[in-house]
Amino acid sequence: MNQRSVLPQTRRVASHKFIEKLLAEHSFALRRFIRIRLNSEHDCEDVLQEVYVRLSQIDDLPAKLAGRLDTTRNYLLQIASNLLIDRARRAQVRKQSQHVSSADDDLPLHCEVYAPERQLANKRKLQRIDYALQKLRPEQRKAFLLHRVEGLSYREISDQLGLSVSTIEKHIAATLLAARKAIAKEEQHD
Amino acid sequence: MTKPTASHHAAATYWVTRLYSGEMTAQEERELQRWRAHPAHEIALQEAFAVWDLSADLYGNDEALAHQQAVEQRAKSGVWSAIALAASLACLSLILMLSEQFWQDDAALTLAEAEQKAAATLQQISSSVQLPELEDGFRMTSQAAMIALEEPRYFSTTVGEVSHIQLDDGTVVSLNTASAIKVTMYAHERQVELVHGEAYFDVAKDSNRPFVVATDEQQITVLGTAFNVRHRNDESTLKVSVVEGRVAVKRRVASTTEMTEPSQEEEQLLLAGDIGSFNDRSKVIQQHQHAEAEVNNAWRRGVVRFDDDELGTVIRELNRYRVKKIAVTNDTVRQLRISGVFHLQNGDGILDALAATLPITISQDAGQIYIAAK
Repeated sequence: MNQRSVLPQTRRVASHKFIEKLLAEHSFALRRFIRIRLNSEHDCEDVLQEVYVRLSQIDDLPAKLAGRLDTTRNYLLQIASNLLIDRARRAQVRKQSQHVSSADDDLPLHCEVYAPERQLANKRKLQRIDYALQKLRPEQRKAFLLHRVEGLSYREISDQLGLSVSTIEKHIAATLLAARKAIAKEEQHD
Repeated sequence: MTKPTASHHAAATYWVTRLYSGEMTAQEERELQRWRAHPAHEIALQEAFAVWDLSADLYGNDEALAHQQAVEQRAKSGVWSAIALAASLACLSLILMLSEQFWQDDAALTLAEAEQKAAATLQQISSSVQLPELEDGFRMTSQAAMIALEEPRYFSTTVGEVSHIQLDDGTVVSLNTASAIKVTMYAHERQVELVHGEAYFDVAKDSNRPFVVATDEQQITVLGTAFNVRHRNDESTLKVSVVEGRVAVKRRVASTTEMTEPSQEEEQLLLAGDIGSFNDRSKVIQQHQHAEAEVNNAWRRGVVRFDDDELGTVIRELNRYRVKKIAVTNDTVRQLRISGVFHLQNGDGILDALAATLPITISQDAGQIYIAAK
């Protein structure tokens, strides 16, 4: 009974108008995000197009986004992020088929994570990260997990934990740093 | 090969965190591009991204991990998990609140229940929950109301109370401190009069029965939506913040109180993210203020948020919820600026937080609390 809808729409899939409006509203942030993760302007439009396609496949998108204004941008960035991870995985597969010789341990961390046959290794890494996270301050860990696992925006986490947004950012960065250290192959000292 | 140092890694994690805030500025992007031009920095950044991406699978199940092996499959599961996470938000906040030591007193259950009900996903609410009245205790209450046709019902809150009211059409009205509304259901229209104060409406859609909110001067017709209306006796301005959907605001014609009669005057249409301020003579519309429109209804969760606001403004806002008022004794102090998130449940803990961060001293007598320069 308590239907929440933003626009009159067809029942399951969001209208193109809805998606276009959504993308237009977050266009600057999305483009910046994609540009930075790709470290290039080059495939930006392609990825945006993929985001569009992905959005148009999602059932009841307006209903899912309704009342979650603050998470909408995070939701879009996460979709773009997932698409970029898939790209990285495909690229890794191509690379490996070209360089047959590369011994497993030679792979740098940032390639290894995306290598399809390294899932077991990734699982071990996750266990190490989990262990490292247990040693952090609870609110640092919580801020990180609320964002990474539950998908809350920094602002929502700030509301929930009663800390300022900049504190939340510091907690998330500190946790990420600890996670990296937990799975780093070697540590260089400055 | 250039190896990143610990400080490079720290900088990289900072940049990744900024990027995923979704609020990175053009200036920051330029700085980041300059920074990553250094090969060691770029490696650190790529590693940070990799760890970040990996961390999304923390506490994920093995099945999800197995899916990743096939890249095609992975694409699908990525979207699925994004949706699932969005769908689980309301539930999650509930669980976390219960586990926080902050909520360990009796207020915990009540607030959690109130939040749950306010989430508007629960349809049947049976009992009304109320805390014993404490001096200056913030209270979150909720109730469900069956409303007979054409019989006006009044709802009101006392100072320090936030109440979530579920109407039987599915609409949830949240009333802020010291506010009152009158609700009348007609066969052709749902009418709410905001007598005074502030209310948030999450309106159930019913195309046959428009939802109309009226104040002394204005009437707001709802076109399926969630929005906040603030009209307090000490503020001559009506402020409407639209979170979702659309509303139309127009002036009520002085000669008639018939709300259903269309006025010839121009209607102001407000869309999601718009904030409209209306008084006798003028109106000001700010568009695309999504974040601000959301902040305007944080009180529903018992939270007030300030962003570089003057202490005078902050205290005026806090006083709305307090029986024992706070007075600021000097202008310099009044102009101090602060940012922060306050949980109203904290009561006078808010004062301790202010005293800890600002150059002020706090004293009190039986009737009032005073803030002075240190």
